[in-house]
Amino acid sequence: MSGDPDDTPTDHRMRELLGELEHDDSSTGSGLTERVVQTARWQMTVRRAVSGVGTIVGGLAQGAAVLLGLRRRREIDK
Amino acid sequence: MTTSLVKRRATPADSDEQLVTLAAGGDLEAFELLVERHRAQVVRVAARIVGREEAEDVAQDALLRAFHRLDRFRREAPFRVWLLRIVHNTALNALTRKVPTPVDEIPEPTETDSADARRTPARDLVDQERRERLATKLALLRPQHRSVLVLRDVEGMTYEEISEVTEMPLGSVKGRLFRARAELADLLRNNTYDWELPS
Repeated sequence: MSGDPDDTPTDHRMRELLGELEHDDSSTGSGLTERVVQTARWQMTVRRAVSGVGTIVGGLAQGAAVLLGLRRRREIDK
Repeated sequence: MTTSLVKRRATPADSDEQLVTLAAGGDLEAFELLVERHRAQVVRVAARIVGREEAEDVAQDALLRAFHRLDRFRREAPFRVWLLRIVHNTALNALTRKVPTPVDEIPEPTETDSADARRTPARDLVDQERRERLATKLALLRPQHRSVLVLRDVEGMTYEEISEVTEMPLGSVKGRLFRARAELADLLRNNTYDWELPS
């Protein structure tokens, strides 16, 4: 990382010290990828299922509305 | 069928942007490669903001949020910056839900804190201890100061990138970084450990 021209010697030293933390914790999160991908998989499945059910319910509601509308119109026509 | 219609498999040689395109279409292999590529930095940044204990939960939450928002990634900034913005926001939100630990209860690290402490050479042990002491001091800063300092001095991000991640104007980033460094320098000076800070 390049320093800033305005940096004081203290800023420079702080950056040196904090830069050491970049190499810390390197072993953490080793099982994380698997967990995240597994969760993403089931969440995607649930989303698709919910979206599929929504489409079906929406279609049924629309169909019912059309049928009811026709029936009403017939009753009015009579 | 033309070759352009055949779904291509994600490979480690793909760029982040290529993997995002595939992952946004539901390709979990592409998403896995993205997670693996950025996992270390995501966990590291989360750990510096919320602490090690909660870092993996925050990282997992942020990565899943990112997955479900991939279609909103506008490619105006690199994927890494966009992802770290989600990590940053998720971490700060997690902190607001967390009951703060009184400063007095944050333990100073000891030589036996590291599980591998006895097995590492003496120099590694000293360095490890120093890093742990520094991390403890860093944890005492305000979350907003801490996050800017971590993004700049630990992760080496540019001011422009930090501005994207934190959604702050460039001038505010610089001001906050200045105050954060000063605050941390004060904390380190008021410590018996020699940080070799210029007076």
